[in-house]
Amino acid sequence: MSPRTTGIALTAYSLLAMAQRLAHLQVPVLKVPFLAGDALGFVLATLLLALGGWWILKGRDQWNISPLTLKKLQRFARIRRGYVSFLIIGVLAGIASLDSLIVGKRALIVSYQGKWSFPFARDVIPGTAYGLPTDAEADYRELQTRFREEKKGNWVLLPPVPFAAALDTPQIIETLEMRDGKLLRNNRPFSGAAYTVFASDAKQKRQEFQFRDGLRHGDFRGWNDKGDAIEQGNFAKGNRVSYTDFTDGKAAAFEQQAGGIWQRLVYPPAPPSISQRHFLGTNTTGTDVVAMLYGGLQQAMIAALLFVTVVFATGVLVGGTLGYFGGWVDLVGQRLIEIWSVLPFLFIVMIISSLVSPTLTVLVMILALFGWMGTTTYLRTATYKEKERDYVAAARLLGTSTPRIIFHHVLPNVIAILVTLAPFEVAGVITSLAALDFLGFGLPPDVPSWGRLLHEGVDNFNYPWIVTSAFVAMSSVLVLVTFVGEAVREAFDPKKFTTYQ
Amino acid sequence: MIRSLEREAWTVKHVIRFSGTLLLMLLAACSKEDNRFPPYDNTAEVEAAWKAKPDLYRFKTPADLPQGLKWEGDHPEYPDMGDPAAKKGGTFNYDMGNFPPTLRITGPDASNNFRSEHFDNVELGLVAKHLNLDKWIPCLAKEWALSDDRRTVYFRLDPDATYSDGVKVTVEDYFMQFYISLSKHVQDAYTTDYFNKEFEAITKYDDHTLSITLKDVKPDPLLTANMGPMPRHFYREFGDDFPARYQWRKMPTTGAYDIRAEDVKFGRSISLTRVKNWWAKDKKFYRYRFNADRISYRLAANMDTVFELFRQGKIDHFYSTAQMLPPNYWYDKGDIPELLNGYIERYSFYNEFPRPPRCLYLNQSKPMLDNQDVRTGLSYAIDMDKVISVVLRGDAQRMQSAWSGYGRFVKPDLKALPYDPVKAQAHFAKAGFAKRNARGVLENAEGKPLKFTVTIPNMALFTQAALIWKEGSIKAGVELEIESIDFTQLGKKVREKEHEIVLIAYGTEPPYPHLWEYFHSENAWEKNADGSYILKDGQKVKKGDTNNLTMTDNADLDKLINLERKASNEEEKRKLCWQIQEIVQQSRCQIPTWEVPLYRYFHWRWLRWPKDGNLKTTREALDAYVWWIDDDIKAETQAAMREGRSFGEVSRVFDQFRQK
Repeated sequence: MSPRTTGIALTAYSLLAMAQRLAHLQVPVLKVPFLAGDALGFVLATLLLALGGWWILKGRDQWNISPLTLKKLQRFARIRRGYVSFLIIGVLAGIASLDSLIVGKRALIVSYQGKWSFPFARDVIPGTAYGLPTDAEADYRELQTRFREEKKGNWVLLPPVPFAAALDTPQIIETLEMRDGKLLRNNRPFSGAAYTVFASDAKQKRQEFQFRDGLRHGDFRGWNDKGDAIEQGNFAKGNRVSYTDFTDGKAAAFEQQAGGIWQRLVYPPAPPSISQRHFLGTNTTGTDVVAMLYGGLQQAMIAALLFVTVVFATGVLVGGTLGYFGGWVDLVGQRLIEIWSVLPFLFIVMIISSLVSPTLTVLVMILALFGWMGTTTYLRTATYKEKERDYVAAARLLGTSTPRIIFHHVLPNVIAILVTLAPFEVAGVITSLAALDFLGFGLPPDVPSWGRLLHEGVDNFNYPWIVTSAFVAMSSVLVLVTFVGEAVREAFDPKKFTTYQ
Repeated sequence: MIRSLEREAWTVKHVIRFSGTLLLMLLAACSKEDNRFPPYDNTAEVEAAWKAKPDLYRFKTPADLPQGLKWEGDHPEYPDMGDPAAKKGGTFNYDMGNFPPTLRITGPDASNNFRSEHFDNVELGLVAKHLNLDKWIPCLAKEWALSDDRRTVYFRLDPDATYSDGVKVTVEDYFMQFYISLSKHVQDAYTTDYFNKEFEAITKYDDHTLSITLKDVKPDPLLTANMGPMPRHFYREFGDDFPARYQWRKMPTTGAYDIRAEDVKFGRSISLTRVKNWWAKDKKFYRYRFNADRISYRLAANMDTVFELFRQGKIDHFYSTAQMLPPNYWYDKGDIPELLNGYIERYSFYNEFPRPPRCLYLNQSKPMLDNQDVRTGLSYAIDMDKVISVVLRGDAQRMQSAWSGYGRFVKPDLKALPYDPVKAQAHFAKAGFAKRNARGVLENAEGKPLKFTVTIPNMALFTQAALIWKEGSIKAGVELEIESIDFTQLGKKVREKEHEIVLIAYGTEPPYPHLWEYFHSENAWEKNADGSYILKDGQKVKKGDTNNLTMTDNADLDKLINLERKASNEEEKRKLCWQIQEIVQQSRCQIPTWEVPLYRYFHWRWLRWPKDGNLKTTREALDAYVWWIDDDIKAETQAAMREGRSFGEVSRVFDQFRQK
């Protein structure tokens, strides 16, 4: 893609992004600049617009890349493992930005009375718009079943994973089979609680029993059609051993009113199930694990972007200053950095998050506050080295101003360090964030996070799908990032030796 | 190079010298005698203090006892409290969540969780309650009598009553209780205030006869007058350094268990040992209780660790202080071979005890929450049923009012509001919140969204509940922000009344609901003696450190509560309680969550329980000490485990006290 076409694409994207925001829409991909709020969103979009415009105006057909950089890029592309990992991460980022198009509880399309609407890209649509009694947002999964039952030509199209990453805990009800006096689940004797419902009202519990190996064993309770408890008792190995009727013999009248269906409420965490569309099961609160992993991926991507930006900006500014000016500035600056480095980071984060429930931005900022020193030190050293080179002396002799020397001459020569550091910073911030969530000092509980999922998994090894999902997701992303990091280092900062003979 | 070597040598020399000094200091610190607390004798000082207040500390002779007192105490018709089948001996292993900061029973840090293990549940009072009959039974006092005006209670101490160190209990030990509780050295403002407010006098007739006179007539004077002794010989060194001096000194006990100095392993464990020749070991009501020779508490930080220790048999009893073992343990994690083979048994006991008022408390001093319709709407907007059916798997039940479990002192028709987003929205509309914004949150005419912060302790169960509430409440148009914070921080926030909505529960004790603490305006705002508000910069000042979390300030309610506090008989108290509860319930300033009518636990087979399970008015399973360790069964079980023999799954349910 030439600079001009890139410019056109960028201009179009930023204009579309602003337009969708002004129209109060939330279109995936287009809404990315607006994630941190409207004000910042418009600033970002305007910047993108300006950049796009600049490229169009310059109207070059070719990117003006120095042969040295080109060589580095080619070297990177030749390192297969790193390059493929890079592509995979790119694809993951693309998937993450699709947002409600693939994961979410809002429908993609609702066709109601012949009119189409697109809830996934809209603010809350009141339920009354679809003929529901309240103006609360519709539960689109329920709406789908309802439309199917009504058969009036209305329909709902849900995303492939029809669950939100947080605050979405639908109840799962499973039907069991009673065969020869034994209750079976997937043709195997069932252990746990199961209940019958009234034939007249499928939502009203009639009796609930505890089962052990398909036989009634343990407590049982019964309710009348109004939901009042009317009886209780106890079973042992299928035989009733005790029984109390709270209504003086009236409970027997309800005996025949139960429908023949045995059901059970699947308590969270529910195991993976394709029929329920919980492909990796649910976590202990009943949130879909796939959705939560997806939400965690988005959080990780945003955090990584934000963190690297802040840390690199600080690193360039402070490191450049220290390295270029040296002397007293360097001496004092270095000591301050040393003092700052020994502050107990974890304690400070704990104190802050025990006082307030931090948001992602706040957390990343805290992490950055204690994470900028490494980059700064590298930058300082590199600048220190570059400054002594002849070209800097030459530029100075020509009367070039200090900022120009720093930003135009020195910086491009030290930027390779930043590129090689970036993947490791990304891996670092993802791990730190997960660690904080794991310890319970991270994001509020209604924000999806890998760390918390991991913590839940470790607390509950008897629900292995939680810990497995969280672990696999997190470790694979970290491995990919590390592969990219290794390849970038190899390509941009090669330790190549030439021996003269 | 040479220079740097020199430097290095210099550094090494200094390091050695420095560590040497440090070592010396350390040795000195170890070998030094602890002489912070020189011996002290307060006998003269205490006696002078008693003499100085002849109205409070009265010394009389047996001849001064009023004529015609009706002494009560001998009740041969009451059944024993333990099970005659109980075996003495054995060690009971258990866990504790925190290591206690002190073994003192009063003063700073004294009201820690471990105090009940070595004091509240073990130490004996003048009288005790029969936990099945709810009747008074003799304890340290063999007999008691009431004066005609019901303000003075007379006690005759049991001549056998002895401390664990062999010293007899005498009346002056009760004088010491008064002296210490009223002293400023004890640094416990609450107790001092309580003794000042409640008691008029303590009178000695002879070494074993005393009377306690209350300031006001009470529905049940014994309840207030009942107290434990503070041995004079032990508190001889009580003075201005009391908290530090007595930090790790264990008071000799009149109860069955004492702590030996060598059994306190700091940061690891504490063991209790049964008192040899305990004075009450053959007394009725006490003889079949307190059976284990030793009770060992080891520190274990979290529930999972405790469960692992339990599975290994290092702990005999697995239980949760949240009253009900959480469903994920009871059902899922409990699906282990030890249970299926009957080495570990399941046990549920339906008790009758005031339930902890676990409510969402709405702070009425905060904007929007001062509106009755907003509060009613919120009560309808919280989905408690889903929490109970999904998170608690239907094992808990909806708490209908915050006073559940107080028997006849609760108005029976109080009902909590069910989850109903439509009704909730109607109430919000009445309060002016009628339009939904882009995120579906209701707004009023000024564009102010209906949004509240719910503060919860960061525990998995409460987080799960709060997320369900948040998910459900948006349907009613109200947005809840979940603030999940550490328990200490939560406590601080609540004490300063800085919360908007908070989820918290408090401990309870029978028989009367505490209404003044929770709903009197004195506990909401700082007030002058004449009842007017103290103003600071024109603003009312919140009163901290009280239980009035709802910041209820209602003059009519205050009047009723004042009457209720002074009620002289139970019938009057009941009537007033009902009136107050009705007003509070209608104000919807607290949203009751769930209550658990039982306690349930896993225990190893060798931990045995009486045939009735336990006693009716027990808060927790171990409290009444009716259990015992059977070492023969322990050997049998361990043999069976080695051989792989199964006893069959055992799950006991005792529901004779269940309220239908």
